[in-house]
Amino acid sequence: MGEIDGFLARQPSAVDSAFAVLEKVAELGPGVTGRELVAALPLSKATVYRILKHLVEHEYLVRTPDLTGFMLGVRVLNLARAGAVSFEDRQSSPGPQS
Amino acid sequence: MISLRERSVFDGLDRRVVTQADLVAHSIAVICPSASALSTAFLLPRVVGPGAWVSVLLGIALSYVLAAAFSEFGSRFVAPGSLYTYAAKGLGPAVALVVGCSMLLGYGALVSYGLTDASRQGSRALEATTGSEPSTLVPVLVVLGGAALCVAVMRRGIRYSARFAFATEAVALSVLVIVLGVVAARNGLPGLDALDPAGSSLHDILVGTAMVMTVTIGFESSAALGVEVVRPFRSVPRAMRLSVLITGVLLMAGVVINASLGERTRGRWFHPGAEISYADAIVLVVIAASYLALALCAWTALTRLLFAFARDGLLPAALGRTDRRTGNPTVAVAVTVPVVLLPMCFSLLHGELPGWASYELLIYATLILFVAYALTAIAVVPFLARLGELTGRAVALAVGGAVGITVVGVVEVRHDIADGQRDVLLALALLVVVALVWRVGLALRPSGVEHVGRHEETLRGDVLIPGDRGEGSG
Repeated sequence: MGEIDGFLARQPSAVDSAFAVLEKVAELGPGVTGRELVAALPLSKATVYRILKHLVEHEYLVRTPDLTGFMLGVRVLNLARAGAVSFEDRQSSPGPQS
Repeated sequence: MISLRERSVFDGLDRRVVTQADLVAHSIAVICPSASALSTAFLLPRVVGPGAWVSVLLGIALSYVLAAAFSEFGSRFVAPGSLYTYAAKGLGPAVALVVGCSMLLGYGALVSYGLTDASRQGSRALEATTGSEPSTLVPVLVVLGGAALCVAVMRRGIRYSARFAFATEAVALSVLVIVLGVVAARNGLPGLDALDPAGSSLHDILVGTAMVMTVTIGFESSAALGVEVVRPFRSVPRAMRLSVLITGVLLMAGVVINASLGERTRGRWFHPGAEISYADAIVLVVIAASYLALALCAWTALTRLLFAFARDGLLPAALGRTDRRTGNPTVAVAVTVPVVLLPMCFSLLHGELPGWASYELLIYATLILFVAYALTAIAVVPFLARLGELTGRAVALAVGGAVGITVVGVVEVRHDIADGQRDVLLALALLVVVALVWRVGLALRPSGVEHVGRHEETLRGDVLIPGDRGEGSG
């Protein structure tokens, strides 16, 4: 157990763990299984499955057609898009600080 | 390389439009707690004795365990076939067909029962305003009118029908709380001796548990709307569990409050013994509306099951057609109209009251659904093992649910046999034979059983594919 990309996964923080799972799915690619995630993450099996279930419920992750693997859901893309758009708007609009 | 579909195999349904609140209302409507908290809750202490509340506790706990076991499927995939698809994923096509046939019978019986009991309560409401029993024609007209209303509501689409169920249940549950409050205020709460479980035998408590299970039957029907629900992996499991818990609270309140009552006039809560009571007539109209909501929601689940069978190639493809504008499976609705009215016609031809056959049918259907519940609960174990996601909690839920419902089923069957209904097991055997013959018939076709138990797969638009930015539709 240790540090993953700046996150202290052993921290008792559900948010840290959720981001760790999301980033690991992105890193290992579409179709990564629950078992592979358990092996790759410094988290307990129960924690990984609980977080996977939560992220699937909220559609940040989706299951592969055979249900065995996971992929990033379109909500992740929407989040990135929303962030990019608001950043560009901020850059282009003549606000008080510009 | 993962291959994703552009369109769902269940394309045509109105996707992702039903809210969680409406879905919970759908589940509650099928259980119909407003009626059971006033009728079953009154009967339970008379059948079980002072331990009736233990029966409620056990029955609700068992239903909750089953709901949690089914949620292991519901949180991983959605399918309008609900338990039939769940069973297929865990135990294969033969068991799936047994479960599917049980659901066809069970949901069909629930629709028929809902319509005829709505007419019974409607007739009682009329009686409470006129003081005389209405003619036989009145309940028949109420059944036909109720069926026409259900079809009209379903034709407007799932958004409208789910909202209709929500509004009806909101009114029904509010009225139930008022009625229970009035009865409690008038009669007071029972003493502790009236609730001492030592006064009831284990057998009586188990018979009471079976009665409670017959009340909660159908709690899983919300899973049939999975494709049409917003955030289905969250909403479907919650709807199943919440509806059971809400029913449990209301039923427990009903049992405790009713335990202090002696004899009462049927259909009178505000003015016991009065021939004419407008306040009680209003309560009876609300209960009738609640039974209509039961019929509507069970009917909706029945049409989704037929739709899933058609899309899986088990029934003619026409049953899988949907209205382009509303997403309503129009052919499935049309085909089921004569089927759900059949028990009433059978009753009338035999000179019985309109609800006689549907009530008898529901007794058989409930026991057969118990078997479907046990099989589906067990299916959790092989399904999760195949995904590599089997946990001790899931095994405990699956085994606990299956063993619990089997025990309750055996107690109920023995009770029915003691009452002279020896053909319950025969009906179950007949259903299994029909399902197995169907299974053999499917195996003889070129496509075989390949499509049995298909679920709604992740679509290309639901996913972020590397190097494919801009494809997601949100």
